[in-house]
Order: sequence, then structure tokens, then C-alpha cells
Amino acid sequence: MAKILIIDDDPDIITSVRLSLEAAGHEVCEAHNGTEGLERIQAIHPDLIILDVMMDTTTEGFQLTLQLRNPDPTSAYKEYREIPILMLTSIHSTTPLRFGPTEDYLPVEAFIDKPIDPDKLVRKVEALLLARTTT
Amino acid sequence: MVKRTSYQTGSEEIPLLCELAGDSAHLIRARWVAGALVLLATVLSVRVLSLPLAEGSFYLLGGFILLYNTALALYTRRYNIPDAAQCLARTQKIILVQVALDWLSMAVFLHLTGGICSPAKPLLLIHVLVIAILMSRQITLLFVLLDVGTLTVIAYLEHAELLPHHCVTPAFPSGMYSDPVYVGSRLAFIALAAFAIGYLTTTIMNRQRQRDHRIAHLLLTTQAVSSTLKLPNLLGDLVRCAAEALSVRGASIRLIDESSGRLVFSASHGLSQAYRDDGGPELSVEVFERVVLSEPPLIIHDVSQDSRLRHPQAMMREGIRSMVSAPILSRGRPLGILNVYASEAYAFQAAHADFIMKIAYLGATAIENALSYERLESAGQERGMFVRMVTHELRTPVAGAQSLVRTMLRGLVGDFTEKQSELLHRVDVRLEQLMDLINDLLALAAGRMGGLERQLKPVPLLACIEQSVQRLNQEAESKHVEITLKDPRSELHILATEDGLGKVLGNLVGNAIKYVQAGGRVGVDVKQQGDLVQILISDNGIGIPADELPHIWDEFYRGRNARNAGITGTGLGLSIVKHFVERFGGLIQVESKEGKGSTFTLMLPLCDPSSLSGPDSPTCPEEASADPEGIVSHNAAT
Repeated sequence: MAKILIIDDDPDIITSVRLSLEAAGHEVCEAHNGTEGLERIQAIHPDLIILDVMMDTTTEGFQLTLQLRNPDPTSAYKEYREIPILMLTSIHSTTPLRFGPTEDYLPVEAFIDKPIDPDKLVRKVEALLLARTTT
Repeated sequence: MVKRTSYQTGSEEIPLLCELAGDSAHLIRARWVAGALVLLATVLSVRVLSLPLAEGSFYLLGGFILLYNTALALYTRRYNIPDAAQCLARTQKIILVQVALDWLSMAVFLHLTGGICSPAKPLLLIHVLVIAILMSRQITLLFVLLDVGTLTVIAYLEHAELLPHHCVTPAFPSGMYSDPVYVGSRLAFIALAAFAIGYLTTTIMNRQRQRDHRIAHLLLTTQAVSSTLKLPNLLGDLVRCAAEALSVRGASIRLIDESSGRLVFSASHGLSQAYRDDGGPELSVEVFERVVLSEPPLIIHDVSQDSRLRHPQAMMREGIRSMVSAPILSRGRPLGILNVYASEAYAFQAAHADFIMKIAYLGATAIENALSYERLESAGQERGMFVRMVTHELRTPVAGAQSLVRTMLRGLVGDFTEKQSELLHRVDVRLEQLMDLINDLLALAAGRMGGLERQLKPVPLLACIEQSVQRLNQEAESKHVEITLKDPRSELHILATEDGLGKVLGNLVGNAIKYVQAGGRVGVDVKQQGDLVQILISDNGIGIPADELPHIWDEFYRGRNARNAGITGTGLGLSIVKHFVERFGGLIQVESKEGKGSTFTLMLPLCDPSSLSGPDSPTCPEEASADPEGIVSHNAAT
């Protein structure tokens, strides 16, 4: 069982994620924007973060990721740097932004498409948690 | 991007070169006739008219003319110099040699036909005329002196009996050639006529050449301004053309800033950075409105003496002594001002000012077009952003609803009866259709959006095809459809957008899988054909009825056999394909037989990725979830 934080402003996505992951035996916490997300991360220290990109701003998810993964040793979030992040995306471009899972560009572990497919989500979450415990 | 006209140095010399080369050839043709006439006239005069001519000398002269003409003809035919300026210098030298040899022949001919009493004296004037047409004023005047001097020397030598006098008209009073009044008056009038012909002809020719030069520049200006819609390039071309056409110091354009109503420096040629930076407009708004707009053009003959200028000192420091200002007017509305500067006072006459007005007039239309294009482009960008935001807003609730329905279908909130389950499934299918429609509308909007051409870059075609096929593999396997992929071994690149190419291939291969029966076959065949790549996507599916073939590219059009078979679709897929293919400079065709299958043939121009600057190893985002665990490499945010 793992503690998973979902940060998304869409209550329907939160419900699906919560139901899917709770059925698989995980504990799910939620936050509805980037600021609340950072507070919750510090409060509960989750094992994994599921993060939406476009919330209050079109790049809020990116900014949160970069804040968390800031390599600066004085960073306020340095102890949360290793938490794996699963990013919620849509396969079709909606913004002119492009990114890839590279260390220096956008350091997230994986992406998953909306709408949420419960089985796929659980598989991906478990793969990420497993990868974390084995490294 | 539109290719811009470039001006190579010496391009103005080409018309002159063509003219001179043609004239040189005419001269050689005329000399054949002259040489032959000398020989023929000698035979006739001596044998038929029995005139007392030095027959042998005339034959020698005729032979000499034909001989050097042969040498000139052979020489001019042989050389071919690619550089225009060098070639022009060579042609001018050859013409100089020709007229010099003609001078020699003419001197001998005049002496043999009676010196100052010769009836052939008008030849001298013809010689001057030919030189005046072909050469500069200085050379012409030099030859006037040479020709008249030669005749004077011959007259003197014959008078002093140092040369024998040939009398060819027996009835002419003998001894006239040594009469000082006769000789002096003849020489004086011939000199006057030769000088007048030389001077007037060179004046006319110079005027003609200047006019040609300006017309050529006006043509170059037209070409330049019509080949670009980018305002900075356009203004740069205009000022350069204006200055070069008149061979003067420089030119500038100031456009009226719509918000402040002031004239703002927009482009210049031949002016220093310091002058551009610190000098405000040369003319006040009042002078601009009162003089330039109401009675254009304004000629400032002497910068140091003209009170209408705002800062004559700065202009003098820049080395500007005179200026012409022409308004840039579009349909009566002033857009700005075109100023042309010269380093000498009184450099501009009415003809120059008139020419500058023409350039300003040409420029006005082009500037108006460029401004409209700028407005259109920014409107296109705003529309693009709007479409993206609307699509995101539409997609979010559908994705939310789909997520909830799938959670329910997965049994995560309890079990349903069979009927409830079936209805929920139908909701899921309808939501999926709605999502497809939203995505297709976005793709269609993207394919039609202005500015797509600017995003084109080399995209690896085979990688993209492979990813499309892989992505659709699951669908194909569930229908037991076999996909055969035939492609050349080496990667091919085409100039496209990654999203667009992914859409094109995904839609065509996806359609093929969708419209074949279970167990059917789909083929993707890639062949390079010179600069093009041909992609054949074929299936042995339900095909398209012949009468419907012309409509399949229409938006929302769906074939009746597809509808009857209950195959879902938005009817937008092929419209999207066609829009993108056309934007990539390609062509798409279809052959189909109802019940037998369809073949879509796609022709796209290849590009060399090394010759274009593009981002490193572009990948195909549309097919990005190739990884079985869905570790997506490229896509964008929701």
C-alpha cells in the first residue's frame, strides 16, 4: 500500500483516480492546484504524485515539477526530490508547448493520457512504485 | 518563404552590354557591305565610267577593310566571358578598335578620292555619328578632333605637294585643293557639323541610357516589392532601389505611426547610424502636410539654404546637400514619406523627382499589402490560440465523464445489472465519438490555420510510419488484420509538422484497418521516386462507391456503405489528411472499387535534413505511446 497524492483541478478525474487506486489498496490524498499541492506534499510526504499540467495556469504542473526537482541544495523541497511523478496529459496537442521525459527538460517519470483508464492507471502506478523500491 | 530578388553588382550593366554587343555585330555586318562596295564601285568607276582612279590602291583598301573585318568577326565570335562587367569592358575595347581601324580606312579613302575636294566627305560625319551612338562624349569629341585633324593634315600635305592629289571628278576645277579660302571654309563647316553631330547625339544617347537605367530599376523595384510581404524587407528594398536607380547618396522611409501621428524612421540606405539615431524627421509635420502632401514632390535643391528643413546642420554633417521628398499615399491616405538624398546641391531635376514619386507610388501599394498581411497573421495566431483553448475547454468535461464511466464499468463502485452495464457501455461509446470529433475539429483547424508553413521542418518519414502502424497494431490484431509494411532501408525525410504527418498516416492506416473485414489485409508501401516519396496505403475492405469518390474529401462526408455497415466515424479524417498533405506540398489520390478495397496514393516532396536547420532528431508525437507501458515521449498538456 502506498500513499499517493493526486493534484488536479478536475473533480471527476480526482474521483476516477481515487476509486481506481483505492480499489487497488492505495491511500489517495488530493489537492486542487499547485500551491495546495506543494502544501500537501510537505504535510504528507507521498510515495507518488499524479499531476495535471493545466490548472490555474496552462503550465502550472510544469512549474510545480521544476520546483520539486530543483537541484539547488538549499531548495525547500529537496527532501521530496525523489518522489516519482506521473503526469496527466492528453495525447493531442492543446498548447504549443512540447516536452519529453528528459532529466534536464522535464524530469518526470511517466505520462498517462486522459481519460483515465483504471487498469492502465493502476499498472503504471505500480510499475513506478516498484521501480522506486528496487533502486 | 518567398525567395527574394537579389541584386548582383553590375546587373545594371547588362542592358548596356546587350545593346553594345548588338551594335558591335551590326557594325561588322555594315563593314562587309562597305568593303564590298569599295571594290564594286572601283570596278564600275574605272571600267564603265572610265574615271581616273588609282585602281590598285582602291582594291588594296577594299581588301584591307574585308580582312580586318574578318579578323574582328572571328574574334568576337570566339570569346564568351561570364562576368558582365568584364565582358562590357571587352566589348567597349573591341568597338574602339573597330572605329580606329575605320578611321584609318576612311583617311586613306578620302585621300584617294580627292582629299578636301573628295565627294566622300560626308563619310566623316557618319563616322562621328557611329562613335557618338556607341561611345562616351569624351571619346566622341576626341574622334571629332582626330577626323577633322586628319582631313586638315591631308589637305595641307596635298597643298604642300608632299602627298599626290588625286582628282576623281575631271570636271572639277583643278587647283581648288590648294585654294586657302576653299580649303579653310570646307574644313570649318565640316568641323562644325562633326562637333554638332557628336555633341547632340551623345546628349540624346545619355538621356536615353539614363531613362533605360531608371526603367530597369523601376522593374527591379517592382520585382523586389512584389516578392515580399514582410514590411522590413519591403522598406529596405524600396530605399535601396530608389538610391541605386538615381545613383545618389541614400534614401530613407519614415512611416506615420498610427498612435502618435508622427513620422517614424522605418528604413534607410546609405545613411550613417548616428544620423539615423539622432536626426528627427528632416521636415516638420506642418511642411509635410502643407508641401509634400498637397503639391508633391518637394525638391530641396540646397540643404544649406532651405528654411523648411528642421536640422540642416545635421544633414550637412551627414554630407547631404540636396533632397527630394515624395509622399507615400495609399488611396489618398498618407502612409509616410520617401526621402532621397544626394551629396551635391542641385542634383535633382523634375525628371528625378517624378521617378521618386513613381517609386513611392509603387511602394504604397506594397506597404499596404504588407500591413494587411501583418494584421492577418496576428489574427491567425489569435484564432489559433482561441481554437486551442476552446478545444481544451471542450475536451476537459468529456475526459472527466469518460473517466467516471470507465471507473463505473470497471466495477469500482459496485455491480450493475446487465441492462445498466449495456447502457453505460453505450454512453462510453458516444463519449468516445464526441472526443474523436473534438480532436478531429482541432486537427482540421490546425491544418487550415495560417502560419503552418513556418512550422515545417524535416520529419523522419519511416519512423513516423512505423510508429503509426505500431500504435494501431492492437486494433489490427483484435480484428485479425495483417499489416504489411514495405519500405526502403534508409530513412527519408519530408518537410512537415510532426503532428500533421502523424495525423495523415494515422488517419489513412486507421481507416484501412477500420474498413476491412476481420481477417483482411492492409498494405503500406513506401517508394522513393527521385525528389518525391510515394506512399501507397491499400486495403481489401469495403471500398468506396464510384459515385461517392469525388466527395470523400468533403468535411463530414461519410460513405453510405460505411454508414450502413455501422462503422462509426466523424467524416473529418480525409479532409484533415488532404489539408495537411497540401500544406506539405504533396498530393493525394485514391483508387477504389466497392467491395474490393481502396488504395490511397500519397506523393510528398523529400527534403535533405542536413541542408535545413531543424531540431535534433524529431520524433512523431502523434504515435508517441508506442511503449507498451505508455511511457510517452512527446505530447502536450491537458
